[in-house]
Amino acid sequence: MQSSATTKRMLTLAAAGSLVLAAAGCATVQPAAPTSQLAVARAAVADARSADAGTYDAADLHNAQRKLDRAHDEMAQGDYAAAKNLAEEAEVDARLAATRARSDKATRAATEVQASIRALQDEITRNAQ
Amino acid sequence: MKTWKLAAGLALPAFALGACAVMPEHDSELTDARAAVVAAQNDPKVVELAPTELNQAVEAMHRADRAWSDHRDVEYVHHLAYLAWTRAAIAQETARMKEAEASVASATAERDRVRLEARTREAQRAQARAASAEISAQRAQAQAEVNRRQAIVAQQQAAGATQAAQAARSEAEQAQQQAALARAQAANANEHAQALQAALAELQARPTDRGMVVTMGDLLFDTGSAHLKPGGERIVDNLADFMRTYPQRRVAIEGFTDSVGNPGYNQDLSERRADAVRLALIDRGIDPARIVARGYGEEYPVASNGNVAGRQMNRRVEVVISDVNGVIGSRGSAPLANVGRGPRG
Repeated sequence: MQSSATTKRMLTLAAAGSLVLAAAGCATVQPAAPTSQLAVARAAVADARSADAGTYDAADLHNAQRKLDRAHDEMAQGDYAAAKNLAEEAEVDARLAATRARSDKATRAATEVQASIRALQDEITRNAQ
Repeated sequence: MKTWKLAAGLALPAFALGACAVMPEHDSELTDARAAVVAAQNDPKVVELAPTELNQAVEAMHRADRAWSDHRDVEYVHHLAYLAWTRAAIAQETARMKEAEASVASATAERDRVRLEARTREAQRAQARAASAEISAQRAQAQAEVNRRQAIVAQQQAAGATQAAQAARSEAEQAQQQAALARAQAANANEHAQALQAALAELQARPTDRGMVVTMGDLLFDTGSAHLKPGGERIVDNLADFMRTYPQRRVAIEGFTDSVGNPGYNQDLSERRADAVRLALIDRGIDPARIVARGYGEEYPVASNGNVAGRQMNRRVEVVISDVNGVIGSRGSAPLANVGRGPRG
């Protein structure tokens, strides 16, 4: 459901892209280049990679990376509004991927520690006999 | 769509929060996002563990709602709805992460506690084993001490037995020595007796009731004189030797005559002859206290005065030798009364 929603969003975004371009042509106010937003998104993607999101949440990391790339493209083509939106989405996607990766790792670690506790307790019980 | 209706239902409380509560809800993107945000708000774990992320999600939702109420273009509203939806997911995921991290921390603490417990128990077991080993060692030591004492007692008993054996041996040796001594003494006594016998034989002594008696005949004196002839001197030599050899012995020297002539003269001669022998012994170093001399004149004849031979036998000096204690039997205990005349007065 999530992926289908994402696909839907992609399609609507793509459709909106041309409308935005058309609107930009007649708009008197051109938004500033989202340089800082792109930098934040880039940092978030890098953080997600360092959190091993490539292993734990490859789909979200992939989305983030793809949107970041497209944001760069839009930026290059001068569509700052689209670049900003894509960068914002890339950032939250990357943050979600990083958080999921960390969450999964912590859960796994907790499971391992609990397993080691059980092993220790078994050992105590065995030695006590 | 089922999820849509569910999300709309869940979203109802959020309308109260939202500034645009009067706005009819038509956009499904917005609805999905609101449902996600509300779900996060209603999750106590998210409220507790991810307040910052929840706040960001709510903020994002407000921006999306505002954009919708401001009639911003739908793509932009969808973009903001996407951000809100993802922020809500981040809040949920953060809460899950914090929970897992807390779980790791507490489990680690628990593991450390259990590990400590395991080590403590191991140490206690080791201690118990050491204590048990200690007790065994003490028991072994006590047993060794008992064995040692038993060995000492046995040793002492053996030493006692050895001592007893030695004592018995030394007693036997002593007895043997005493026996040897007794034998030697007996041999010695025997030797003494034999020597005495030999000495007495040398003196030609004869046994009488008063003791051994040496008779010096008339021929050993000059006629009618107390002067000793060389033969008489020899007998006195032998007598002196004997008395030096047996210092306990004493002598009684007794002079006699025949019955011819004046009895007074005879008495005098008998006394002078006895005294001559006494002085000869004293001359040879014999203690005078060991010697008594006495004259009996014509008394105590040993033969008949009726013939020459008898008269010669009666003219004599008798030396009576005492017993070993110096005692000499008194004259008269066995007088020769049947021979010649009886004793005078």
